Amino acid sequence: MNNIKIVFNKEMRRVFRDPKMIFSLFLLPVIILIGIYSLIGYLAKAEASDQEQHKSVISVQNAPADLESALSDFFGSAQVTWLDSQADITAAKQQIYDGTSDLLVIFPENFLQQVEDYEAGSSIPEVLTFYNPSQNYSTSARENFVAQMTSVYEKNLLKQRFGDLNALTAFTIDQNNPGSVIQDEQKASGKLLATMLPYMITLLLFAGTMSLGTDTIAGEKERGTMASMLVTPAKRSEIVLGKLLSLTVLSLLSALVYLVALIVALPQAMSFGEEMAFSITGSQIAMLAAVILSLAFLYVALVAVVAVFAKSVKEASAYVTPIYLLVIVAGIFTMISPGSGVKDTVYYLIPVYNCSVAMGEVFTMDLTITHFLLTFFSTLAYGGILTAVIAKAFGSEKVMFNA
Amino acid sequence: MIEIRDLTKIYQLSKRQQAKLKVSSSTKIAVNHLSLTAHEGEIFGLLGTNGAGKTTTLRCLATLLHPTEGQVLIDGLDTVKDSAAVRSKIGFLTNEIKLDPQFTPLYLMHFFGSLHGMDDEQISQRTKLLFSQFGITEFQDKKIDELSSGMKQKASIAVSLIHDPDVIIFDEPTTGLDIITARTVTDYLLQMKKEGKLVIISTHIMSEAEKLCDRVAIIIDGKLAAQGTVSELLAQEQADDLEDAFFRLYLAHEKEVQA
Repeated sequence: MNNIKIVFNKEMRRVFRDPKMIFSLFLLPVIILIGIYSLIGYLAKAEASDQEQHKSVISVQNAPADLESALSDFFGSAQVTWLDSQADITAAKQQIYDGTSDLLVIFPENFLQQVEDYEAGSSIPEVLTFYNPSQNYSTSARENFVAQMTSVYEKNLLKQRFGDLNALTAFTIDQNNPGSVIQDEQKASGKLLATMLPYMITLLLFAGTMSLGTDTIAGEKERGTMASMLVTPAKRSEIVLGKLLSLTVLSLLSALVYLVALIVALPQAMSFGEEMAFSITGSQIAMLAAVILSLAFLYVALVAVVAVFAKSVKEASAYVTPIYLLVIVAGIFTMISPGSGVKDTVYYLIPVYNCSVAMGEVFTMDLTITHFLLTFFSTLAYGGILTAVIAKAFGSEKVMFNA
Repeated sequence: MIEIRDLTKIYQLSKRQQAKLKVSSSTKIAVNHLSLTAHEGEIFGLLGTNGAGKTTTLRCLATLLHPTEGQVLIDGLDTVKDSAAVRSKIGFLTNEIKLDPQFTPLYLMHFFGSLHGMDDEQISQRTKLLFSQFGITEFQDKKIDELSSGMKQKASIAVSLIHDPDVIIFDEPTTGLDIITARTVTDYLLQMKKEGKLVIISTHIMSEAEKLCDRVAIIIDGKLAAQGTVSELLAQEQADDLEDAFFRLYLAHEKEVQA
């Protein structure tokens, strides 16, 4: 037991006595993360305000006489070219193609007359629009135009035709029903967290483990410092456990730092988590912490198993990458189906996946004690099996000394 | 006491290693039925060219490698069955074992002392003694990374001796050291011998062996070619010095192989 502590302390000292390590492990990722998200947020805001300030460039052919006054708000903030029926629209189309113009609208000649002359069964006049969906300005100009046309202009015309618009409305749905949405606000907010957080936690944990784990095992082998421990009377299993436990703690710390950074940085990037009626109970925190802890241990053991069989850090990194991809896939699975009902017990025995599911279900309050215990202990057991494999490998001259 | 009984070590070669060594066999016999005995209060030298099997033999003594055949006993303890007990008795130094570049000599003495089950008091005393002996005190708080190769070697020696082992196994201890540092090391080994410890070293420097070793074993191609005191070997081979004797043995071996 004592030797585990001695090795553990050495590994921690290696990181915390080295300013470069602290910076690259804990500070740099946070700086980069917050930087990236702030930049995304800034760009999104700049884009939005740019859209607002942009004066749409619009051409309208055969505009009905009352159109401009009816949609004065819309046309007032745009630069409009009014075309008559003789005008050449090829140039207008080319401008939209080039992105110098946003929208071309063509009304049929005698549009108002056609509307007025409508009888049951006769044809309905069609308004044509031309726009360029790969231009943001163009898309939004068309959206605004269509919305204005249906909500204001069409209603005006229908009013003229029927006098009473309500005659056209057989019923409404939920127009005066503010209590329409009946859900547990907690669970709803939880669902959002259930989708995002397990994925991020599982990813961040693994990312933190990857670089550290390959260095402390494959790196020590490569540098020849591992053998110095192997000639002491300490048991191989003690050396392995000391290393794995310190790695577990370090990867948990690094994931925690990431997570805090994410929570700080995310709202700046999206309007995420603004009104979340979410509170977490003590037992939820305990279950979540236990699952994360066991998962961190499993990840560390997984990386270590790869690192111990690799001859160099480079080789270890190459072998770990496919495992990282698998972890990402397992995370994506849980994003697709969070809270979709109770799962079969057997799902809680699938390594990595069970932890992601369990973390999600902590937030949606669906996790049962049995499922929690299954997840926690099976994950620890998988980690334990890997630890035994690593300890065995530490005793192998082929693996440790390439002999 | 060290007893090497009929030690054979065969390495399995991978395809790549075979190509590198330009051999077609998938095994390499590094040590071939080697038997010898070394006692307390003597310095025993393993002499041989590079690749003769010296380091492999010492690694077997240090429990890092398992004999393919035969047995190695240190103070009656088997290096395979009682490996942990053997490791607490020995101090092992080899070029391939390095000290962690991020730590200071002082910290490493504490770390390895603790792994040997010593308490802080014992570690401090022992560290003080070894550091003054090898002149490490002045750079004891510098990181290994910042030390010169001679300083590193001194620190490695001190670390390997932290637990005051009865059996000292040093693989080419003076390689890469300047004359003065090398002298410090050989003087220390002589002192250890006087204290009744068993010192076994490997070397390819014949003059060093001549001055330092009470008895030597000459290993050629993994086989024991001759053993005895230096004067015994000189008489046996009718040679003026150990280098001469070694060459005679080597040529005889070559003839044997070709025949």
